Amino acid sequence: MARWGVGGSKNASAVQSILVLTAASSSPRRARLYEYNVGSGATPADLAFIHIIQRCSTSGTGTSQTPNALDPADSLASTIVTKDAITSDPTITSGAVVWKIAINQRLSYSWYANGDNFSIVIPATASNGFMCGLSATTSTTFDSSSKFEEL
Amino acid sequence: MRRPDGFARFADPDRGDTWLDTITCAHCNSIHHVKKDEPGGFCRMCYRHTCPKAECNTDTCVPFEKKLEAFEARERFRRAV
Repeated sequence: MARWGVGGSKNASAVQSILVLTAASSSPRRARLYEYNVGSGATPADLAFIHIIQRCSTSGTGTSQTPNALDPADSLASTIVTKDAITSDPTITSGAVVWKIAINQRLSYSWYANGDNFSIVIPATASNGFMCGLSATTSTTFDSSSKFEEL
Repeated sequence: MRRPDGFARFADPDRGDTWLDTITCAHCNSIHHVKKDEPGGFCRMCYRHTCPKAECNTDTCVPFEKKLEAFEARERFRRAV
């Protein structure tokens, strides 16, 4: 199945989300998130942030991104809705945190799944997916990228 | 770990890169970091790694795939009525 890459940035808006990936509102399909990278392009500061990936049930308000097909031969458009520069956070599902870590702002972090069975799955349910961001709102800017596979 | 489910890299500008193995819980689909040579949790029914949460380490095994199917079916029904 087609694999996609998408990058996203968080601007100075006081929100949690850096990048939001959700299934389309019509004809949703499952997708597997198998790589996630995050770091801050802001002026280095000695601050700690708790980064999370949490399930969400809406896509929030932000700038829609067009995922890039990793194989240029893939001609179909991605059905996963990706947004960055979020100005209003999506509705996050309480307690459904699939990844959480506290890291210093100076560090950048990457996670890679070691095979298809070990990725995290976006359900084939309209506007459900992942909010990749922080555990609390902040005006600090962050940048991230992720790769996913549509099923 | 002998066969980790994933890898995490912490790129520190002062100390260089640190790599950790990760597991992806077979019961809740969450990602957890484990230290080198730590086995992590393991379900003997589905033979997959599990996270340390109590609800993911009970006597019953409900793979995440089953939960996902139930969730999707419930949402389809909810939207249909």
